[in-house]
Amino acid sequence: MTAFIKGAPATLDKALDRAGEILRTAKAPVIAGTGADIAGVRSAISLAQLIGGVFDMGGAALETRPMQQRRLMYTTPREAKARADMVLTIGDEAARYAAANLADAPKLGREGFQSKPRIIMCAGASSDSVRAAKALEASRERLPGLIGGLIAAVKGVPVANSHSGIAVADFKALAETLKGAQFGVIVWSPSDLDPMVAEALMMLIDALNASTRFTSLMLPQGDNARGVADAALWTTGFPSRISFAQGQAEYDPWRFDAQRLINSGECDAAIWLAAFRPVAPQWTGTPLLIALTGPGIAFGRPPEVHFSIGKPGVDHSGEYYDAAADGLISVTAPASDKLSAAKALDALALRVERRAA
Amino acid sequence: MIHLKGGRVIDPANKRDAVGDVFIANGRIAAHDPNARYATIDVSGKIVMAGGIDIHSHIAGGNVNAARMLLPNAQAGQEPPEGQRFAGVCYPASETGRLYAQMGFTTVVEPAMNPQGAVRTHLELADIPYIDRGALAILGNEDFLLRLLREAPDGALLKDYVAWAVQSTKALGVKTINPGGAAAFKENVRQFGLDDVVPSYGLSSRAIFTALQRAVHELGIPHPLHLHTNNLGMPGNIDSALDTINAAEGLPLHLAHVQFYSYGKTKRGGFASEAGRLAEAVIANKNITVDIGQVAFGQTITISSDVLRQFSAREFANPKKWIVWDGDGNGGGILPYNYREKDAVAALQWAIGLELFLLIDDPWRVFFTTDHPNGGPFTAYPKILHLLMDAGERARFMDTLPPKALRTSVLKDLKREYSLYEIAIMTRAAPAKLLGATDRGHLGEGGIADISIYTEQTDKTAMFAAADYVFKSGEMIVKNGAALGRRMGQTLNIKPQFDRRIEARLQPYYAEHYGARPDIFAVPEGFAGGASSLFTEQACRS
Repeated sequence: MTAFIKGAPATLDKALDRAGEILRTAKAPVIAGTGADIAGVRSAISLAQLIGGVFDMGGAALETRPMQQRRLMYTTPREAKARADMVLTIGDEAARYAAANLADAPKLGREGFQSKPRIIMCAGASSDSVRAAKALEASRERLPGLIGGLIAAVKGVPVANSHSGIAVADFKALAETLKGAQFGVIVWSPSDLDPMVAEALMMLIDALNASTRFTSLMLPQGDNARGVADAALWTTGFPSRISFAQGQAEYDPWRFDAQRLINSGECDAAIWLAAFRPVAPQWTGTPLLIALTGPGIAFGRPPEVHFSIGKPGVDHSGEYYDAAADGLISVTAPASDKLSAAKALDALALRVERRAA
Repeated sequence: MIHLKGGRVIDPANKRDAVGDVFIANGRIAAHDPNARYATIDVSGKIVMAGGIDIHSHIAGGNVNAARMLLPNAQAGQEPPEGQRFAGVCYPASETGRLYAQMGFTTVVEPAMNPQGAVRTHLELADIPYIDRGALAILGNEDFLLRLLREAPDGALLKDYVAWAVQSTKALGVKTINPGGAAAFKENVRQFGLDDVVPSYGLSSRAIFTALQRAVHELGIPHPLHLHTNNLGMPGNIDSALDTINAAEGLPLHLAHVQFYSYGKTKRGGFASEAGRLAEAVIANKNITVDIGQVAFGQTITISSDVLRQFSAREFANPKKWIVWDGDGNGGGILPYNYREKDAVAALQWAIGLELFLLIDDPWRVFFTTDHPNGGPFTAYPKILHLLMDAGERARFMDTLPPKALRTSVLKDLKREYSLYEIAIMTRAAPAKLLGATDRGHLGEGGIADISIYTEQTDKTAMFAAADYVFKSGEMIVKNGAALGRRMGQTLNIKPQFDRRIEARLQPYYAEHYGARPDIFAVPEGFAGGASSLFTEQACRS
């Protein structure tokens, strides 16, 4: 079965009818979700345009935030793994990433430094994720103090003692250690760090580049978040979060936050698109819900309309972000009878258009 | 079937410049068929040319998206905030296609496709309506290539890899950007010239680019190696440019946006024009083609895969925001920049671009670009065509610039004015020839019916900003300067042949470095929903 109305099996036609009716009469619809493949995202954005809705999907807005900082330096997972002789992780996610992916010695880089063990330091991580790495005495709360102190120490300006509980001499030593890297990489995740801490990290990296090479590795958000951000950018010119309520695309990451709109009751209908994993929305608001997800999902309350869709790369071919490639890849899959997100959304758009005409 | 009746047909590829008719059948230019029923469009008094071809415009890819994110308010079609000049830099795909079409351009090449981002770039290209597109793959800074070259300095191993990379990324040709510079930067090298050496590989930029140049040539890839030289944007870089031209040793080579490396150095280390010396070298070396990278004044964003250059220039970002990334190959940098008319360097850059256009007297070898958006947006083209065609307009513009800025420039003494025939060579016939596209850029029988029709006016800006009609593959896509409907074009690619044994080297390398098969970055045939007509293959030289 591919469609349900209020939890009861329905024909695809009836479900499309009901969903089309919801979208046509909605005053302020939102298209949200965890993510979809590029074709699904393109269709979701066209539909948002058609219904004058908001588009805010998954981690796309988080992927965008670092790109809007005062300064940003980053590299690819492959370069970090192959070349970094020194790694500093910030936060739990980064520490886990380094333990899983960066334990080996680097293979590229200046001769004489290849195959020497990589130095890994962790800050702001709880002890269980640190494992073999050297842990810096900085809890999450003390990260701003640590990074601020390091910026000063790297630049050679005096460091006050009270920042993070680390002694002045230790800052100096730590700064010298970092400066000793050939190709240092700070691993971090935008979902795990306050934006101001991320800004400070980039100040530190910029300061280190005065004498050596340092950059960062930004860990990706899941479910094709980078692909969602990409497709939104090239189709509308804007990063996620976007509203089409005024006709033209408008960009505002605060106003068009789907979670905020729904919880505050500002929106009356929502599409929830989760093509990769069966994840239900976490919001507390109660808009009329049209869900497009794979099987095995548990909703607190059955959606008004639910379309069962296939998984990109498994049930149908598609393009999406792949962590190994650190980019969009194209995956060919044998045809199945499962609806793709794009097909379901395009059918829905036709239903909205036809009734509107 | 369409009959374009009585226009002045300017078709340099067929040495035609006369009032006459053009017939379209099945999307192609055709001979007159007395038995056919034509829809006749009277274009008497108008100029009829092939559709424009832009060989170097950054219209798609990760760096373009990074620019969109960095300055999210710098969008086309939006009024800039008070006191800021952010509008119109990186258009969304739909606008890119529409704006090009309205100016009469029907084919545009994205010159810097990161091979690891090929899927992403092609998805965006596929969403650009109206026009046909293509992309050049960036090679020359990736570890795999540098290893091949270190192992066999004669470049013997390179050919198969280059062909493989072009095929798997569905590219139209090969670009190399500050070859070796990005790799050297990873090892903390801050200045990288033609004979500087990438530390761990012992390879000079010269060795890398000449090996790539030979590989591209021997593979029969129609478009010569597209080179962005060392030391871009630095005073005194004319020497790098001239040394590069000499290093080409007579083999075909395309130098991209040469305006950015035609600089002398004043005694105080400032910028001077060396357009004259560059033009001389280009004129003397018939194997060299160039595009200009003309500066257009105003706010823009510089998008470059020359990571070393962008890193060095980061403090000149205006507004003060930037992104610099080390990629598997080139990486890149995104820096907003404002070419202010009152800024002596920007004014000189503007003049150098025009000097090059006017001094290089062979429109078959000089191409019309702003390196969009690096010198300025492609929407500045009509204005620049005006400046090329009207010495009076140039003089009027020069009067508004700081007088001292142009001291080292001869622009004020150049009286040359481009004719419409020369414009048609530079923007139609020559780029088609450079890309090896025999069915584009001309109005001869059998050519694709890509046609733009303008009303001749003294105000060339107005003339070229809005074509009266534009046809793409025989379909009317623009009327009275406004795009019609929504037609989707194709993406051009080539398939140079290679020895499959290269895969035996690629497989273990990709397994080790990516944990994946070498085709992980490939753009497959059934790409993006499987539209079979998305790609169109161009032949390589046999």
